Amino acid sequence: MQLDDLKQVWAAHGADLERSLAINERLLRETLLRKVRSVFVPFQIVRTLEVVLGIATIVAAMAVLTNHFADPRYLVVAGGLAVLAGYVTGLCAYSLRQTATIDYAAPVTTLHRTIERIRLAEYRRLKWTLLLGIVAWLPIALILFEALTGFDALARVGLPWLVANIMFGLVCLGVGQAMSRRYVERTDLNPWARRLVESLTGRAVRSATQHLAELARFERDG
Amino acid sequence: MSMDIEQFTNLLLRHAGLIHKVAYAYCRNATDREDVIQEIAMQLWQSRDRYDDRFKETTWIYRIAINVAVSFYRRERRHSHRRVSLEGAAITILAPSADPSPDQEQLMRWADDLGELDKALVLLYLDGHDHASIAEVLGISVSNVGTKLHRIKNKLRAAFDRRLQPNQTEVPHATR
Repeated sequence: MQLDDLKQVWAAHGADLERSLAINERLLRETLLRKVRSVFVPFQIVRTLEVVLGIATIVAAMAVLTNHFADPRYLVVAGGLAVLAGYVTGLCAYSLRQTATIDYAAPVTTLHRTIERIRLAEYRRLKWTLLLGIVAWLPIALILFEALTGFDALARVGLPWLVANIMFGLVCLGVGQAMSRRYVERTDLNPWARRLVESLTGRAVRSATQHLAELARFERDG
Repeated sequence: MSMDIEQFTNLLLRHAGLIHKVAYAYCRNATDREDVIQEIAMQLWQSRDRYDDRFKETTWIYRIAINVAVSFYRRERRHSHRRVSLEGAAITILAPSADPSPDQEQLMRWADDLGELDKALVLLYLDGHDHASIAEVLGISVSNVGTKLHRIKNKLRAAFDRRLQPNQTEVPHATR
């Protein structure tokens, strides 16, 4: 059998299926309006808030850095915070802009490249947010505290205690990664937990990168 | 193109076969198909103001339908445990009037073994689209469409030849 012989089979299949569609006009109207609201609005609100918070964090870190420019400790902590917050906020702004302009009527390869890039940005954002939150929460909290109150909290905390806290964060991260590898194959995880373990193990980024490579191959393979 | 819900419903009915075939090609499960059809309807509704009438209506619908189906397929593959109740669905798939013929079954089994992008290409080809229009929907070059179809035809021929050989009753994976 040849591919062209299958055209008739396919046409007969289409005719069978065409007879089997039922539309309820009232429910269709409600579904369309409800779904459009529920799918896009929360994502865009949350991302907008994250961008605003990110910018506020960068401004706060830069303000503290300016006050203690000569001190290497502040350069590392506040400077590092500003750079990482800039990266995460940039990824967030990218996702927000791309999802606002996403067009499902675009060519298949174009749309899927956009979707996969958004997904990649989302996974990277989650990974770095977790990394910052778990490993460096104390120095970040001290910098933000100074930015809000003007009280130089970082100077009051001894370096050994700060280092010990960061080491403890690294241990927690290691344990989290080991547990994620253990749970990543489980099928009964809720979507949030799945996203978390896939981001921690790096599987999500690998999968998105592989799909982008597949798309490129499909476009190029002539 | 601006359309009200009545015109939109007519559009869905006019292209019901097309939408159904795309959903059927990507989902063998009836609940998933219903979900995909709802999603296609939603994306068509959302994109209706951006429709450019220089393109054929079917090209526009095919792009949206394949884009939704491929996204759904990939999402479901990642989260295969998730199932959404479609109680009170606005668009309902009734059982097809007759059981699929053996040829239809065989075609579906073979299509299941194709990668999601190759499947879209075959689907458009089987629906009688020329190479230029397939290229327009998929966003690849016309020569690329020709090359890929040639390869797929060879693989299909080889798969059917193998199937005809004794002691080999299954159609092997065509492309991955």
